[in-house]
Amino acid sequence: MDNIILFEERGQIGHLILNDPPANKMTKDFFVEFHSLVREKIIKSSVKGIIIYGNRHYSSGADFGQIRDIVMASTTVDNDEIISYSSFLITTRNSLNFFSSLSIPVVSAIRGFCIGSGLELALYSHIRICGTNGMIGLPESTFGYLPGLGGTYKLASLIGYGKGSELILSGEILTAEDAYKYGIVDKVIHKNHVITYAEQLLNLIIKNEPNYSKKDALSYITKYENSIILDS
Amino acid sequence: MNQISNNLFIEQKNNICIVRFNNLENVEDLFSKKTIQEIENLCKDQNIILLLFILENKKDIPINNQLSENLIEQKESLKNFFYKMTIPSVVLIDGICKDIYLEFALLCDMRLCSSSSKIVFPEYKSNNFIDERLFTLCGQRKFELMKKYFGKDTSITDLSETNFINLVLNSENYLNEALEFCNKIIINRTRLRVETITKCLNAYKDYYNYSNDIIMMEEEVKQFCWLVYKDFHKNSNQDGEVLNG
Repeated sequence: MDNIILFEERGQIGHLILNDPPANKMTKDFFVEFHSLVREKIIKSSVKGIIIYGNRHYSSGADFGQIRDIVMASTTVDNDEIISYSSFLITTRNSLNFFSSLSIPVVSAIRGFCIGSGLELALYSHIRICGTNGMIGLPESTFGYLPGLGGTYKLASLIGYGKGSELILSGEILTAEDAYKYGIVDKVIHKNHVITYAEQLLNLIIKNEPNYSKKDALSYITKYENSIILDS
Repeated sequence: MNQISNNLFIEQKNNICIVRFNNLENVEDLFSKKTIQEIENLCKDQNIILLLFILENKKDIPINNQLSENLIEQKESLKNFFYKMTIPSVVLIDGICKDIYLEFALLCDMRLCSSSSKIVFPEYKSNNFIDERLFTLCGQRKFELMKKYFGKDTSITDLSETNFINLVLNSENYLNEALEFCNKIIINRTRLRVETITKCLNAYKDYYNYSNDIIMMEEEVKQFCWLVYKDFHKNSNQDGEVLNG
């Protein structure tokens, strides 16, 4: 189960690489390794920014067969009332939420599939840069479930309750351009340049923005783009 | 079709309950206890999994903003009704949408507009219902854009980039277009599945003001586990095996 996820410190930037081809399916092992990586390595790191990405795909989401087994083993119901439920889900969600609460910039560089729990992870990042081949969505409702790691709340707070409700209920998968139109991703760029763009953006924030705030994510992209124009 | 008053009609189409307000002369109809009771009764039918409100208003009649105490109380009841409703609501706006009509449209989860409609937003004032609600409806990424339209008559085309409107209806038969949109959302969904998602989103409506992420996310985990549990038992009982994920 080693090396499903890698965390590499390269200069001031930490690279969190989802490394389980072909599509980084989020299995139980994936979440366990993710949690221990956060608790044992990333939390102790002194990097000034983090970039999260996969290789061909960001992630095709959770293995629902396994998640269902975990939930069924830990859910107690009495008189049609839920009494207790999975601590595994709560621990996993807290590991994802760790990135949202960081005061250093966290950028997701998305290529290919970024769906289900994959998108939930990306939603905990502060900025999302997406390749032209990106496929974005929370399709859980189409196979009888719902996002369980904070996706309903994170999507609704990012793009609004109105569009968020529609996308969660319909389970629609969006192209990169549509995801940008609705504000789910902050920039669409050719898939071959996504990682470079995200790294350069992080470098600019680290160098020029000592008072970084995730609320200003879009303004950093504008500043970065302006700097490219000036350089050229 | 069930006629509730001169301007209010309710009908059921498959899994959708359609409530039509047609050129209301008395705005109190929009919030009346009778209206709420009628809708609540219809929602008890487990086959109903979505509410579609049609707000037709072709007359630009100024509305007295000095609301009677009775109407204020009715508005509060309607707000509570919407915040507790466990199935999604969609509003189709056709015509002029301002003042009380706008407040009603804001209470619904999703908004569809005929292309000839006009929406009039009041001046921006923080901490009032309309501005708070617009923030939750448009989200962090689009609210700044939305602020441009405060205090202005706004065309539907301008608004389409703010996430305030889910869909602009361009065809002459916009009701059919609206029903297609609703069917896209609920097709092959059971009431249980729609209810669990709606309850998660209701937690967002209830708690976003307190910025309490954990409470909102706890509700989601709970609903997720409940749905998995119910589906497992339903499929175990009926088919002898669990549903494939």
